[in-house]
Amino acid sequence: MHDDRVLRRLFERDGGMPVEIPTGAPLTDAEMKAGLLREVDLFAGLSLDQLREISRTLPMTTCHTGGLVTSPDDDGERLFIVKRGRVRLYRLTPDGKQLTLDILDKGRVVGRMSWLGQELNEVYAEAIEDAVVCSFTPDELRRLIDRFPGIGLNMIRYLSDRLAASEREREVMAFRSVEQRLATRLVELAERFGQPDAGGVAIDARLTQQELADMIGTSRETLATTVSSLRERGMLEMQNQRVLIRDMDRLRELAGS
Amino acid sequence: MTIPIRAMRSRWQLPGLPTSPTPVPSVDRDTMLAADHIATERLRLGLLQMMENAGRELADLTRLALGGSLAGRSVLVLAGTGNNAGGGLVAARRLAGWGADVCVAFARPILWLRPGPCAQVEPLLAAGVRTAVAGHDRSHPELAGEVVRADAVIDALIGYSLRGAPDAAYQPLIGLAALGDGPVISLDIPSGIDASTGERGGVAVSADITLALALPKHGTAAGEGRRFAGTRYLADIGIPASVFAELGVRDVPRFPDGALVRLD
Repeated sequence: MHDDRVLRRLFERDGGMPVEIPTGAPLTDAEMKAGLLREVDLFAGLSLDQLREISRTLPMTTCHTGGLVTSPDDDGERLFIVKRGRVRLYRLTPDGKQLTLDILDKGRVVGRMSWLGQELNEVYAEAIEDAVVCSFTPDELRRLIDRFPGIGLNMIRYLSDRLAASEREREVMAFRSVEQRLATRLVELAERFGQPDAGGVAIDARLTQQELADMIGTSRETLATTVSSLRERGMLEMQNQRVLIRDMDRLRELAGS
Repeated sequence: MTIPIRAMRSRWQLPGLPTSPTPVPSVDRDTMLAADHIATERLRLGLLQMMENAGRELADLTRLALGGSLAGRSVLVLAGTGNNAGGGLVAARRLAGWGADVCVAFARPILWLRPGPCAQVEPLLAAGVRTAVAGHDRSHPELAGEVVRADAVIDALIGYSLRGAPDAAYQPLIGLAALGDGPVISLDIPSGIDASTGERGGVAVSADITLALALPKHGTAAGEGRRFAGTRYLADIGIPASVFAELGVRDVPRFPDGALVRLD
């Protein structure tokens, strides 16, 4: 990959820490819920120079196969980024056996940091291949955000994704459908921004379907299906980022059901 | 590769379970997907609700396959990551609650599970079920020993959505499933069999009993799936017959004599 070659040249010239841009599939809902972010969630969009500077700041340690990167006995809050090798995340079951939660490879983050919602309590992280990890404390992360505000924005994006994942989870648990959540959100929006209009209440919040989907933690495709179903039942119209609620009473009823 | 087909299939005519008085229609993958979609999205039947129904019936069927009592009996559940696994995990919890010694072998780490089955893990541990992720917490040979010692094996690895061959992480567990002497019970469809065609894209579980959910899948009555499914039973999981009628499936059974019926 082009970026890798550039980075390798930087590394060779400077003799500093290797800088790697992690890649990987999106996190699953369960991973989101457990608070397993990726390095890319933190550092996306930063320039190569900025990444290089950060990689110099954060201390790197090597953890040999079988060694614990972190355990519930560790004091204080600290996040670890896996730079190389693989780390197994596990918890203990009531009968004292290990149960593997995930295998973390390059770019994955583990540890505890309460203000990021990283609260994987009672979780052990063990290197299953010699691993290189870098770590930071909440204070160090705050200093990074001061220096590179983009990291703060990345955190907001990550936390809102987590919120959406947690909503999806709640839907499974509480049996609330996408339709009900959309209705609830539209009623809220109508109460705040709604204007009486011929044929109903108009919400001129300039929301795209994607934004609306993000707000209720669903995909754009599912949202589109749900909107057409509500439209067919005469409850709303949606055009040019403008929502017209035609039947507020029925929408309220749906939201409250 | 030769897949051994287990003998003594006829043993699994479980006493006390009625046969359906009328022929039962079967469905393909897309029809079942659509039915699940209507049930969860339009009728708001919760996924966990249907999962609990499926798991409870699977546990009941397993008890019957073990002679009616679970005292002193052991069951091994093979679990994947999807909703099929969710039903298996419910069954594991119920069987443990009823007195069986239950072990669940997961094909993948826990956080790979979809939200529904993932939500089953905490109650499972609380019920005293032993758990291990294959290849990480316990090796495949160790789990093979567990299969041999088990009085019954439940296959909840892969459900009706499979196309082609099972993923590499599933193959060793599929290979282990039939090592013991006890019944192998597949949930919905033997893992590795295509629900629409009955084709086997790679390895597949050779089941003694397959418990279909809602309606049997085409794949248990066609192609290689017919042999791999063993004796077929059907469980009512609460999807109204009108859902299938809307999809053009007629003569859906009504279960007047109980939520489990024999199909073969």
